[in-house]
Amino acid sequence: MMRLFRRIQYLFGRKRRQREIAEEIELHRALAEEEHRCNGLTSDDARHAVARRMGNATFALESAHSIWYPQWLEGLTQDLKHAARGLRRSPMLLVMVCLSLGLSTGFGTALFSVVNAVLLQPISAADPDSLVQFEMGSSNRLSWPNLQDLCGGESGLVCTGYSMEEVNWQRGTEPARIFAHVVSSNYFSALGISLAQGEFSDGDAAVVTHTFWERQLAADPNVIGRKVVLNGYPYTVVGVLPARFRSVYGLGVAPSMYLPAVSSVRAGKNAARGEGRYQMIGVLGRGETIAQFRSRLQVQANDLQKRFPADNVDFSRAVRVQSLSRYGTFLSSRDRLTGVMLLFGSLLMVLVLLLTVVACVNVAGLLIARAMARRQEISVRVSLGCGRRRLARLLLTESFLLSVAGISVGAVLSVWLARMLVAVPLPFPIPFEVEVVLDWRLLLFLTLLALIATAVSGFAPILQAWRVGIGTRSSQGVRGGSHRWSLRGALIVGQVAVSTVLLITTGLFVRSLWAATEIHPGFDLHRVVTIETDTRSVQMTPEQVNTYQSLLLARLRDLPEVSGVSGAALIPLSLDTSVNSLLIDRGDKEQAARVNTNWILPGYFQVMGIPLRSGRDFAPSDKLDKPLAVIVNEAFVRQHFPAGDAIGHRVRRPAAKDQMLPWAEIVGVAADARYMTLGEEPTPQVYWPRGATADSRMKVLVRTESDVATLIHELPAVLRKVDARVTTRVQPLRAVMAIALFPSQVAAFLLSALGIVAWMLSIAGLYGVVSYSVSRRVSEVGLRMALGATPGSILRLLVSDGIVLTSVGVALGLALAAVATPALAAFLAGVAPHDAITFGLVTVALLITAIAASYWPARKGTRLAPSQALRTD
Amino acid sequence: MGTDKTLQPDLPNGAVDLLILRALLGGKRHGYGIAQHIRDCSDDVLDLGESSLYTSLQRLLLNGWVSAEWGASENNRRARFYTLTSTGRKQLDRQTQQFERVLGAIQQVLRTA
Repeated sequence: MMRLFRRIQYLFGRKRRQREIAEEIELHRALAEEEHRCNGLTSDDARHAVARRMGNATFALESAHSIWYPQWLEGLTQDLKHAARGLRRSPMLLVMVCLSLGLSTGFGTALFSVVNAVLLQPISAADPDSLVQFEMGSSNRLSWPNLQDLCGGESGLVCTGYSMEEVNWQRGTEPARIFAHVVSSNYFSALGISLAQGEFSDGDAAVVTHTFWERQLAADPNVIGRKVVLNGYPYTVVGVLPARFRSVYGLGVAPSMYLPAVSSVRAGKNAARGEGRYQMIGVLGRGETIAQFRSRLQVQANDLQKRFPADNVDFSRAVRVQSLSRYGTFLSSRDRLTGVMLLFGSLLMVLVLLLTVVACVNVAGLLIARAMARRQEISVRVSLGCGRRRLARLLLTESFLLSVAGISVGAVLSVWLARMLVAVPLPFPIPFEVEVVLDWRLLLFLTLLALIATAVSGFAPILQAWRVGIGTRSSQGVRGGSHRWSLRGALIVGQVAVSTVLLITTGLFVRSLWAATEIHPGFDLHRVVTIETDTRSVQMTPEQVNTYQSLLLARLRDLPEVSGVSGAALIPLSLDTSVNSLLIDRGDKEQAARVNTNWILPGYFQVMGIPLRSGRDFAPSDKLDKPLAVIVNEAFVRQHFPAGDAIGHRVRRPAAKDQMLPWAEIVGVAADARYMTLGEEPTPQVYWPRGATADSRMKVLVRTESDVATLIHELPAVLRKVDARVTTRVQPLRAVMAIALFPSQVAAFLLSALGIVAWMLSIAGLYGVVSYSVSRRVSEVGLRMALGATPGSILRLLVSDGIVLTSVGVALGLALAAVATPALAAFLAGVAPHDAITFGLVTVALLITAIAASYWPARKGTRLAPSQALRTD
Repeated sequence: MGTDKTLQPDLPNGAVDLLILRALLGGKRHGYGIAQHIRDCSDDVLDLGESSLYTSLQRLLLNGWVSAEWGASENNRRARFYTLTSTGRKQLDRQTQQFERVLGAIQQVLRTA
């Protein structure tokens, strides 16, 4: 340890120390000389004697010095300095390398880190792998009384329930809409989540997320006990979640507040045993399998149905348990779009790798070209006694320096990019929080790749020089033309091939994703405005709500721009879903079916632009409590009435034996429309008419054939006139469904960006290598011109050589792509794996680049006088 | 101090270090003085060359067994004087013991075998 310390001390005063040792040796000699002279020798003889005796002073000095500063280290620093000087002389090379490596590693790392942070972070729970989702009966949600019985502790099951709601938060004087996660009492303890501050409790208590506390409550140190007004009621903040908390939904979705299901406000709503509200999570016991849990659950389900047959219909028959993905509920579903998103991460990795390869090939090309030009310098070094190992070290140092420069740029870029990507404000009120940590493993891996590439490419051409021997003039490699296989040529072909594959892949994806965002959801996104009314804060009685709604609808219908007004309980493609069981009357038996369900007002289909394939729409006389009519969609017909004769058949909701609901008749068939996500296959859907009883969940839908923006502008005034106390929210339908559009839009954006970077790198790299290699042939140009060739023929020659090389590369790339892309067909919605436009465009772009890259330097060469050109090296 | 030299015996590095340390036991000396002392003590048998002398001295400095400072020599020239440190002294003892053991063993082998 002390040795190291002393060594470092020495290093700081290196030059001085060397002088001192030299001085010592000098003194030693002088003294030795004196002694000789004292013994009678002449000065000259004395000096000679000493010299003979002592030997080489320089050697002695170096030997002493090398104790402190080993030879290899000395050589290395020399190499580094030399390399740095060399780079300063060719700034373009440095810039190109930094750009290539920097862009690819920076972009790749940032992209991947963001995707990693969004998709691949496990939810915050003590043991995410022990969690399951379960359902009982016809609905995907459980009612509060059932939840209490199940999770109360007597059943022996550990489970909890949750749902998500938008609430009105009174921020100062302004109301703000935030998302709240409504959870049962044991939610945090069941999942093993501990709060950063405070403790969850029942009653009018709220737990806020860390970000909410920081941003909206100004990181108030006395936040516990502070009051927040939600939906008109005062709640007390009792806890703050830890930072970087990931909600059970995954995907960075983070509701700002956690509210207890048990609270004075909800008591009324919670009471109905038959009304499912909460999605359920179960916790497996230690070592318990899902099957074992299901059997325990089955026992409870049987019991619940026995005790409350009217409400808990079908509980025994339909118990469903599914593992909760550790990445969140959004990623547990078997929906096609989430599956795509999961694979998106690995796909991105592949593309990032390809991008890095392109960058490395770029750099390799440049370095090889440069190394070719330095042949003469290398042979001089060899003739001066530079050993092979020393030479290798010299070249590797240069490559190393270049890589380090490029990677540093990349690292900085990735940090900046990652931060920027996450800071992009989302255009819709989805509660979205993500913490991006740069994936160092990836950065390290890409760094390694870059290092290897630069090392190999800086080194390889020298191998040729060794074999040929000292005295090689650089003209050796210049003549001979491109028809003979050369490293340079192979590199161009390789570069073009990889670029082609990369560009085609990203091109296909971008095209398909842009097409995907235009997937028609089955209804008219662009002409509809939604209005949400908050009658709860105003505490109206059901009759008052009814009056309000009727008045509202009438007023809206009167507006001139409005071409249709309707309402629905659930807006498709938003966070609300309702999946229920249905019984179909088959004459002798009743067939059970699972359907998406919605409750609508008459005119819904017209407003939403969903065509009715047959039958009729609801009329005002159809009401839920006189349920005679339902409407189904085409998927329902395809699945249950393949003959197509759905109309007239009867269906009904399941109920207990002694409380059977009357049959309802299918009166109409609507076209298919997406319900939960854009990527889903059409699923059976059933529409019920809205009941006579007021439903505060009802959202009003307004259609206009003219400009939606103007309508949005006018509506608040109209709504205030109906009842100024009620807070309303007016939004275009498109915004409400943004959560379904979000993933594909993000993916399209990211891949487009990746594609653009890939294009830039490929084009720049190709240009660089081709133009450099052509410029190496300038002396050949001079020779030809001296022998009588016309500039035109030379240009043709050089350009055609460039084209030939590129074409070979493109052909190779096209072949590779043609083989590889069908494997990706699953992702490519709306675009064929061998899409002609993409393939064609890439080919054309690369060829044009090759032509330009060959043309300009060749032209410069023909401009020179032959004698000058010949001398160019 | 003749010009006819006996063949310089090949001294291993460790031995040179040991000799120098021993030479400094009597007080501080400069490089030439150390070489002189060793020459005198060994009746001209051991004549250290510059490179081995100064290389060894640097090694001793690196290991912290000697310390050095600039001063004036006998004829008022600037010279670097080396002194034994306490660790150096311990090292001297240790290495001397070891060397004598090895030497004794070699001598034994030469006598008996």
